[in-house]
Amino acid sequence: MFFLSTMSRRLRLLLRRGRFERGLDEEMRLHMELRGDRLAAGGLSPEEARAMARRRFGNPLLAHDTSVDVWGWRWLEQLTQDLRFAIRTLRKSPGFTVTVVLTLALATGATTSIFSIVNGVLLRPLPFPNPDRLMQIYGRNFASDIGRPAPDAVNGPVGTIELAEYAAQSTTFEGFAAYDLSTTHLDGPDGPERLTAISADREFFSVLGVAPVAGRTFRPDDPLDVVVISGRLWQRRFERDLALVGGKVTLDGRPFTVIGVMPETFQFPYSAASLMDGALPESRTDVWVPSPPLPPLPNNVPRRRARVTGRLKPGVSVEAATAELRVIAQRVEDERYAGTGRRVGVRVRPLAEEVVEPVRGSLWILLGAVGLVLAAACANVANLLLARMTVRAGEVATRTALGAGASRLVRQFLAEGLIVSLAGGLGGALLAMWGTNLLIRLGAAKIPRAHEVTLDWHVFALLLVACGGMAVVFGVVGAYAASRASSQLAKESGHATMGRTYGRIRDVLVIAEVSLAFMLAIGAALVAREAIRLRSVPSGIVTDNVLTLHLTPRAQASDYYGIEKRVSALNGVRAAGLTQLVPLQNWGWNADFRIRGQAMAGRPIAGLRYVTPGYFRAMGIRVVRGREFTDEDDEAAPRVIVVNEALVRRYLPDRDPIGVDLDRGTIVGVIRDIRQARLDRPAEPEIFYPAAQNVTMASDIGMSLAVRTDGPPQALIGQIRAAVREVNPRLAIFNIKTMDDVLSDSMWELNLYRWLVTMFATLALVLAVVGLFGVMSYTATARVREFAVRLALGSNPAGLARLMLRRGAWLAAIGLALGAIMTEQLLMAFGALPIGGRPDVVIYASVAVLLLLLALAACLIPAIRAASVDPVTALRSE
Amino acid sequence: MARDAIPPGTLHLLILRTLARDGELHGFEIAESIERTSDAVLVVEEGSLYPALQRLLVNGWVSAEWGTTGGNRRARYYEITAAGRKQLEAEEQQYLRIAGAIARVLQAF
Repeated sequence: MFFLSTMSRRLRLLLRRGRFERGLDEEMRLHMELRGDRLAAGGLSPEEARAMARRRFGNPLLAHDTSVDVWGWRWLEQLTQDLRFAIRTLRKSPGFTVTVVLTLALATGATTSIFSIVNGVLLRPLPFPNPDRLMQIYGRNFASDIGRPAPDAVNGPVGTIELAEYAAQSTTFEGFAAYDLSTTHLDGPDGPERLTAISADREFFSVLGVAPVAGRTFRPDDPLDVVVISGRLWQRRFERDLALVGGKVTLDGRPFTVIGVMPETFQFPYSAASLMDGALPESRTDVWVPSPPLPPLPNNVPRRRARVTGRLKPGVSVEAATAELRVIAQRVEDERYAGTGRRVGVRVRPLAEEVVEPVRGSLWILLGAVGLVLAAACANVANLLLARMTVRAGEVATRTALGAGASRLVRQFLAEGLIVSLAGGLGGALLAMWGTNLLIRLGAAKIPRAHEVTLDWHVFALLLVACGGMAVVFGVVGAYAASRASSQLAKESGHATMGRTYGRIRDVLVIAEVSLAFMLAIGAALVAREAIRLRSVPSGIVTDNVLTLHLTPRAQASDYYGIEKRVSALNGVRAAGLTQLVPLQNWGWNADFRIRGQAMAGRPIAGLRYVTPGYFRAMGIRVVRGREFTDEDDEAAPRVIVVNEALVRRYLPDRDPIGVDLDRGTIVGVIRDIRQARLDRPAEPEIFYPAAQNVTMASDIGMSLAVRTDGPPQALIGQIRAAVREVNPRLAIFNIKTMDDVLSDSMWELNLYRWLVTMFATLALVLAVVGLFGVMSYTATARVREFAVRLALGSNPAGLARLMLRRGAWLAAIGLALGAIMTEQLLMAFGALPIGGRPDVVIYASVAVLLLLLALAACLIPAIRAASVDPVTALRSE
Repeated sequence: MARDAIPPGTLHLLILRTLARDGELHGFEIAESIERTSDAVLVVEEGSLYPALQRLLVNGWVSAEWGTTGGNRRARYYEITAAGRKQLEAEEQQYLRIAGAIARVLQAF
């Protein structure tokens, strides 16, 4: 209380300090005048009286200063003074200042970007109450699940029979909620819109513990025709209309009652895009509907629920919960599945772990790498400061001689450190805003929780702390170097060096920076080479002027054929056709096949695709033998298939594939291999069906339409939409992209990786160049006397410049050699980089030449400075 | 007549006592009042009055107000506050106790 009122009086004074100081002076002047008057009245002459009054008053300036000090704002005044002086000093050497601030801005910007991702994805708890009690439950995959990496592993869906037993018997869990991903369609002004729907148990929201922003969530007695919608959908389609709650929406043609709206940040489950990996630009969930009852199939075969989340009771460990569920699972296996051979497995894993698992390792590695870069940047700046101190030794010595105390000098350097750190930090914050958004955009569908990443106060607090820390380090380094330099200056009259040890440390630092830059530059070059290679890889398709879009829900084969006809007939369209998912947005749908009349070892596997006749032409896929499909290949006609060259190579070598009978149809054509899954993955054997003969097998994911046009295909979007709607107005049209965009989007991983590696490499290069420049500048200054003597004894200036360049090149060369050795070691340890493979001689040589050139450029200015030493001035200044 | 400087650390005590007795005074009047009441034995080093006044202001023991002198000059008038009176009482007692003790020691032959 007392402290507070004192503080408020002080603050009031600070705000009116100009008026206060003028008042103080006025008071003291009045005092002296009154004293003078009094003395004059006592008989002194006016001059004597004035002099006497001043004598009795003492030093008015001192009284003024002491009075101001009493108010306790002196430090602030000194701080502003220090800062102002620091700004003046820094402005006098703009090269130094810009270098330091840029270095720090780049390093803190990179660190903050990565940290904000790490913070949002890994560090911040999941946005549910007590998220550590949320567990993901897995069951055993069926042995018949073809294409799964480990058919018997316990990482798959959970059977409904055992799930019911868990819910009934478990004492460690408060509750379970199972949910499946599905698709639904909402009627809109442009026709139906495809939505990601979560079909969830009614316990779903209570297990997660999230509240809606409007309305309510599921109740146990809710009928099946209620829906909870996402905040984003509410905003996008309903303009946040509160009247929607309690009203009806039409999903897939059926009316549903909207009971609630979730907050915008609620997107659960996180990896909802896995349903249509590649065809969905981001992982979002739009609506939640209650799941219908799922009675077991005949022969006591349970249905399976894709995902199950449970909430542990407080204080229960994962191990205890696992042990309990195992016991229950074993009982179900023994009693319910006796004699079926069906095995029940169960696995419990914290939800947070499951959500961020795919990216946890790489994010930490990234953070570590960027932290190293930040440390190197700080070391670099300290290095530059040291080098500058030798230049400033004279100034410091003068100021010391004029009475600047040690604390004053330290304050001065702290102020300089503070300014460069804050300026760098500010630049870093701006960079981080840009960088974080870029990272989120590049990884939106792939980085879980990306939509939760924000630059929150944690991130900025860390940035601020980092800046403060850097300021202190720089201040202390600067002050220490200055005091050493100036004391040596005093002792040795002009010969200021930092001693051998410091020189060594600096050299080692620079060599390390060069080798780091070399390694990262090699990495960047490899990724760039890979990007170029993938661009020119024969994908088997011709991507120019192709528009693709996806249609859901599933329709009749005749609809797809009708769409193909109408779109092909449009002016400017060369060909059109449909397939399930276009290449590079694809996912595996594999099945086995047999060649009739031929015994085969094992079960040959091929990818299955359903296409309409125009598809191959629309995609520019070449038919190398036989024919493509026609409209005659319909339901009534004999079953025909087209296969790819990979299938022929592997299973039908040395014979004419046309006419060969497979159990899935007769081969009528062979197409060139196309890269279905990824550009960097060679084609696997494939079988194509005409959609008319096999549409029942086409899955619920719908079909993609590909349209080849004469000119830029975007112009035709409106007409294509209209054509689709004429055939079937219930189809939702989405994911409209040119095939070129599909191609580049399929390289998102490479792009992300490329962006990161290039960023790191650039940073490392900048650091190495700045480091070299710092060391060489220091050398030029520290050896000025030696150079002067050499010049005086007849050396020529060019020789001195060469000496300097040679030293710089030598440091760079050691760094390069070390970098090359470390790169080779790493490659030996890890085989090859995850992307980009192995560097060849060309890459090594070009990166080395680039680095050497940069190194020499960095040494150029110091070399010129060394060469232009004026021996007379240099030697006389001692 | 002998003139003595004020013992260190007691100036603010003298100011507070003067203000408590005489009410509102400006700086020169405080100096004069101290000199007069001590029969000109204690002389304030007049400049040092002002830092001392600031200290009292910061602590909230006196308040200040601009006013006009008899000679129609602008001056800052200081007045003791309630907190100032309390402080004065406490410090006065402490000072008298110490001074008495010192006097006893000095006179103990």
